[in-house]
This record gives sequence, structure tokens and C-alpha cells, in this order.
Amino acid sequence: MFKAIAISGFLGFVLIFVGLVGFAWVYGTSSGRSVIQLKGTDMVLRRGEGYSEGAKLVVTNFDEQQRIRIISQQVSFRAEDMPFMAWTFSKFAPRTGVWVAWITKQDPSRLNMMSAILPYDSTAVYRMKDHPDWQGDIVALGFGFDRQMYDSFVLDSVEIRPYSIDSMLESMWDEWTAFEGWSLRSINLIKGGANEVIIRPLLVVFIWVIMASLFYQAHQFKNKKQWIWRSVIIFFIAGWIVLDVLWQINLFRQNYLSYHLYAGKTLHEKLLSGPDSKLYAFSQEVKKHLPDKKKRIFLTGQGLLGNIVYEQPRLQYFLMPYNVSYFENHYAVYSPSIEEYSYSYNIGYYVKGGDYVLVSGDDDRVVYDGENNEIVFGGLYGFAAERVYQSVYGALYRIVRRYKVK
Amino acid sequence: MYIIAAIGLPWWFGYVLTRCVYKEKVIENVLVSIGYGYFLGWLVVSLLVFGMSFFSLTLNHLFICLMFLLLNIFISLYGYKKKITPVRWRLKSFCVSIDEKYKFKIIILLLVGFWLALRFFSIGLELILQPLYPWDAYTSWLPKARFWYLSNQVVPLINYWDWIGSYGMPKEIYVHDSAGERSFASYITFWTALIVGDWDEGSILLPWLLAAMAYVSGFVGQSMIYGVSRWLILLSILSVLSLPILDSHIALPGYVDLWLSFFVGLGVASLYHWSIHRKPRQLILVLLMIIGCYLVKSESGSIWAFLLLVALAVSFFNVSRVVVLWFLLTSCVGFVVLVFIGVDIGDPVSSYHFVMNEKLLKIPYLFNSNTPSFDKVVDKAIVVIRHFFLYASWNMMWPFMMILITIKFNAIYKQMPAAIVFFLLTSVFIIISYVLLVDYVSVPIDTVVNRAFLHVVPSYVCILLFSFVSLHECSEHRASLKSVKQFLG
Repeated sequence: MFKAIAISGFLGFVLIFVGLVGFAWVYGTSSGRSVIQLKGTDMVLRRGEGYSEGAKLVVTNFDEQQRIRIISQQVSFRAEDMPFMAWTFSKFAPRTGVWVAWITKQDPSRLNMMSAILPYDSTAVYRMKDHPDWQGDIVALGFGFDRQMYDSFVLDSVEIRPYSIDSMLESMWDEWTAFEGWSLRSINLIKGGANEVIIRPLLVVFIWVIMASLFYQAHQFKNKKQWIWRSVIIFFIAGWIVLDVLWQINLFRQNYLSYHLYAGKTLHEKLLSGPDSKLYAFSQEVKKHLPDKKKRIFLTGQGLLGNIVYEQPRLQYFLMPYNVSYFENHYAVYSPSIEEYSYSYNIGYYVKGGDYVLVSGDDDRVVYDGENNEIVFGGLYGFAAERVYQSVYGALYRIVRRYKVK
Repeated sequence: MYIIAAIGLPWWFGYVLTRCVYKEKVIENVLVSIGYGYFLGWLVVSLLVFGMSFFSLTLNHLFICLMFLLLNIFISLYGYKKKITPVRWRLKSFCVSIDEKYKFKIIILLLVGFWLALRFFSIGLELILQPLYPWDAYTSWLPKARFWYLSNQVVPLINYWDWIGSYGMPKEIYVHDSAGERSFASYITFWTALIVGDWDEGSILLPWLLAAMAYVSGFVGQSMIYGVSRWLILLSILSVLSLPILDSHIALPGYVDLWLSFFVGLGVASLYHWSIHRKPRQLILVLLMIIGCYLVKSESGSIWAFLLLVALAVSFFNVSRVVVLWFLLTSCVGFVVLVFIGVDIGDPVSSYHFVMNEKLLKIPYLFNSNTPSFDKVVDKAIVVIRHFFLYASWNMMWPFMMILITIKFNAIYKQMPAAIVFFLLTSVFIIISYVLLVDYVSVPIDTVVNRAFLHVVPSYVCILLFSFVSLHECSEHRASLKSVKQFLG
């Protein structure tokens, strides 16, 4: 029985492989153009720190704004002729916040971007064929990174490839084995591999289970034996193990990233290294200027990161144990515009003397006149107020008393 | 040291209490006591912190530890006097009993054990290293704990509108949007932080990881009592712990859905036993798990507690499977008729307002939502299919379950007690209506599907597993038969 199961499993695997090759064969045709190859040293490090080593580009650190930007020397090819882009790194540890980019001749002011996938091997092959912005004449390629830098990386080369079956299969494999780091949606779903893939690994494994079971059934039928359900269960378990190994490898890569970002740090240091570092640092500065836990603090503003739905509750959490409410959560509209900012949408409707108002990010609805110590909310409610703290990320005001209502 | 005390003391307390009803010197009872005892311990802790919150008390953590320790010693001594002695671990005989002829099975057992240890290591490392990350954890479940700990006072928080209206009142009043949520997660996190003496998001969330271990222990114990073969138990544990969606809830702790799924899972395991053998101790465990469900999460927790209670009643009154199926069918028809007619009972501003019409479905203390509608149901079904059969969240759980149920439907159905049939069908119905028929205006369906099913998947695995085992393999059943024979002389 076990020999027959092993052979059926192998035949199922062969059939899946042949099916994938067939799919790649009909999916596209080669333009006949030769591969365009750029060495690491053909790329220029616009932001960040690094150096050239032979034909490679070594990036050691980001710039003051925690950014890395690499851009190629001028290239010239038609996107439709070259549907694959391959980036080769000889050293590149798992990380999130990485993207690749390109600029077209038709719209040189626009930077087209897509999230970079990080497969197991050193070469990431991107199937650009289906990307809506991969069209026209490409004149430059780019690479960016916007998170905490914990390790240097080495860019070997970049290749622009015409359509070929092996590039297609390679890109599919890279999508399946792409690193999926934690995100806010991880608690709700784990996609398994890259965000966008042509076919999901789970479906491939499921098809394999069905194929192998059918082969085994054919074997039983040929030998005039009964169908053994246990064989289906064995195939399922085998498929399950394969997917679980993929998941465990992904967890190990996440462990590597988390370990290098957070190990040996206090909570304070971890938060300063994490994705909310700006928000946390801002909250710590604000805390220094808040005198009393009992005072009411109204949190408003357009946000530091441009996403107040995420940002305001997070800021409130960081500001604990102060008595903070994120005001706009209680209305149908998050961040109402200046025109909508009236009456019950307006924070001035609720604020009283002795309260504090914390504005995170820019907010044209809140106007403060430093000379007269006056604050006006949405042009409607005016207060005598004092600016207690201000930084590039926002400001904290102490309301003294209401003195006019327009 | 303090973290061991923070988690160990309630666990010890729960273990000893559970052992008081699981006295026999067998490994199954120890495992059940470890598993259920963990959850019982945290329920007691939440009661304690609730008391502190109610009376606005702030207690010294060393004093609490000492009191708990003395209480544990007292109960343990009581248990010792009642001859609840620990089991002698005989690992050698345990391994040999698997099958002496096939030593390679032991190697596989060790490999699986190693794999599980690896998984716990990976997700445990994430739990310890990552600062609190998931959205609902810091907006809904844990802010109270953080506030209590940092302000050094266990006072109630109030919602925004009450806070706005309370301006000028002399009493200190603090606001949080999660004021109306159940506080179980905050209670246990506050307790851990209080004993540890630091708001360290790496260590105070360890109860999430240990909950998974305790669940495994309780589940294995119940399965062994039921007479399930060790291989099937091993596969079932592996199938639950290898679910990426469950792993992510442990690695990124803070959500209560994980606790709810374990409460429901262990509750169903006990219910299954009680439906067949009527051992009062299993009934006690079901009731504890029902209380747990209710305390953990307001809406869905209440629903699972309610369903378990009704299933318990079905079992108590020995309702047959046919009657259960007829009841469910007529309930569905009755529900549709009531919705079409439109029922509105009670004062709209009171909490006893009962509404059933085409727009609103409001059952006091149980449910308050838009009435399910068939708008875009196909689109929503596609989303569910994508989550079950394309994404990695569930590994191959759903295809595997479907195939198993298809090929063994008759045997599974015949094996299942009526109460379990009731629980299974109603839970499937409720989840499907909750996922497929709800109008997703503010919350995208993607965020609901997997968490709704996570609540019940451990219990479904348990039901499937127990349904595969014939009754004569169950040790409790054999014991019952033995006692009946003794009774009859």
C-alpha cells in the first residue's frame, strides 16, 4: 500500500509540474530581446549610506530621515517587451517596508512603486506583466526602504528579462516563498506568500492531493481492490505538512527580524525601534508637558502618518494614564473637512476652560494665534488658550476660557 | 520569578480545584486538571480584580501573592488529606504502550513533539519580543489594564458621551472607548503586570501562549478519557496548533478570540462526555467553560455561552436527534416569519428591548445587529471561499474537514449525541448568518470571517475526533458499564 501511495504522490507531483509548465507556456511569448543587465555599481545610492565593492553596491545605513533610495542609471526599454525584473542580493535579511520602483518616459514625474517580495533565495523575480503601471518606455529603476535598518545589505545586480518559461516559474516560486511579515491584518488573515500571486500554494497542494488520490484509485481499480480512504487522509497529511513547513520557515524569518529589531531592549527602546517610533516619541514629549492625570485631553488633528483611524487610538494608548479621548471616533466621519467641521463635529463645541487639546499633525481647522493667545476651531469657536508644547509632529494647547462664539 | 508567581499561582489554584473532582490516579485526570485548571485559575483572578475594581481597592502585589500562596497550600493540603495524590510518571511504559513492535512510531512521536516545540518556540519568541501590536488589543481589550496599572488605581472607565456629560463633577472620571467591553483580558493582564511590577508587554502577555498549552493539555486529557488513540490525538493537536490564524493570535497576543475558542473547545469536549456518561464533574467543567465564554467577550461570547447552555438542556432532557433537527427547522421558519411580521416588545431605551424585523435584530443581552439580508451574498461567499481554500490562514483544515465529513457522514452523525448535533448545526447557522448575511458597512468582511470561525474550530476538531471513536474504547464508558454491572450485582 505504501509503495503505491508513494508512486501516486510522485505522479501527482509530476502532473502538477507539467501543468505549471504548460500554464507558463501559454501565458506569454518572448519578445526576442536580450536580457538587460545592470551591475550593483550601475545603481546610485541617492539616500542612505553605503559604498561600492567590486561590481556590488553595499548599503550600510539609512539617512537622517530613515530612508534608503537607490536609483539606476538611465535605461531604455519597452515595458511590454520585458515582463520580468530580477533583483539579486548576496546579503539581504528579512525585513518589511521594501519596495521597487520604475519611471516611464511618458510620465517622468511619477514614481511607480510596488512592494518588494523577499523569497528564500538571493534573486527575487518580479512578474511585471500584470502590473497596471508596467507600460510604456521605462527610463529608470529604483529601490526603496523605509523602516528600521538593523543590518547592511549587498545589491549584486538587476536584470530586465523578456518572457520565458523559466522566469515565469521562478517568479511563481518566489511569490510562494515570499516573506510575509506581521501586519495589522495578520490577526485576521494570513495569505501565505506574496500579497498578489498568480496561484496560491494551498490550491496547488489541494490539486496535488486530488491528483494523487485519483492515481491511487486507478491503481486500486486496476488491481481490482477496494478504495482505501486512509490513502486520501495520508495525502492530506502530506500536503498539510508541506504547507506547515512553509509557514514555519516564514515564522523563522519573522523571528530573525524581530530578534534583530527588539532583542535585549526595554519596552521604551522597542517602541522607539518599531513602526510607531514617531508616534511614540511624540507621545513621550507630550507627556512631559501634561501636568495632571485628571485633566481632560481632546485628541484631534490630521495625524502624523496620514492615517488617524490607526493613529489616534494608538496615541491614546501611549498617553495613558492621562485622561485622553480621541474625539473624532465618535462621529460618522473621520477627520471632517473644514466645511463639515461645524457644531457637533467641531471639537470647540465640547471643550471647556482647563481642558487640553492635542493636535497631531497638521490641521487647518485649528488656528492658533500666538500673539493674542487665541485658538479658533473651524472658524466657529474661539478660546483664550496657551500653547504648551509644539513640535513638527503637532502641538498641545491649554484652554483657558471660551471668549467668543461666532 | 514574579512572572512565575503571577501565572503559576492561579494555575496551581485551578489545578488543585479541578483535581478535587478528578481524583483518580491516572494521567488523563492530571492533564484535564492542568488544562481546565488554567482557565479556572484565570476566571478566579478576573473575579478578584473585578472585586478590586468594584471597591476601588489597590492592593500590594506581595500581599496578594502571599494570600494566594497560602490559599493554594491550604487547598493542596486539603486535597492531600482527601488522598488526591499525584500520579507517578512512568514515561517508559507510556512510550512502550504505544506499540512495542514498531519502535519507529516512537521516533515519529518524538519528531511531532519536536515540531510542536519548534512552533511554540517561534510564536513564543514573537510574543516576548514584539511590543503590543494588534489593533483591537490596544483599542478594546487591554487599555483598561494599562490605565489601571499606570495610574495605580483600579477604577472604572466610562464611555465618551458620559465623560463629556460629567464635566465639572468633583469625582475623578476617566474615559475610554472600550469602557463597555468585557474586561477579562484586562483583568488578567493587569494582574500579571501588578505581580511582575512592570508594564512589560513581553512578559505580561505570556498567558496567551500558556492558554494554548493548557488547551492542549485539557484536550489531550479529555481525548484519552474518551479512548481516542494517541495517533489521532496527536494529529488533532497538530491540526489545531499548525493553523496560522491561531498561531498569529498567540504570537501577536491581546485579542480575546483565542480565549473564547479555547473556552468553547473545552466546553464542547466536556459536553460531549457529559451527554454520554452523565458524570457530574464533566457538567461542572461545561458550566465553568460557559461562564468563561460569557465573561470573555460580550456579543459572540454570549452567543456561544447561550448555545452551550441550550445544548446542555438538550442533553439533560434526553432529546432525540430527530426532535433536534425538527426543532431547528421550525425555529428557522419561525424566525423568518417573525422577521417578516415584525416584533417589537419593550421600551426602546431599556436594555430589555426585544426587536425582530427586516432591519433590526435585537435580543436583550445576546444580540444586537442588523437583520441578515441576502444582499451581495454571493460576493461574500466568494470571500469566505477565498479564505478557506486559497489563503494560508487555515492550512488545509477546511478541504480536509469537508472530505472527512463527506466520506464518513453517516458514521459521524450516528456517533454524535443530540446535544452536539444541536451545537454543531446552530453554530454553523449562526456563523454563516453572521459572516454571509450581515451588512458590512463599517467593518470589512475580511476582518470577520476567520475570527468568527476561530471561535469554533477547536470544538469542531474535537467533535470530529470523538465521532470517529466507537464508544467501547472510552474509559469512562467502560467505568460506567462496570459500575452498572456492580450495581446490578
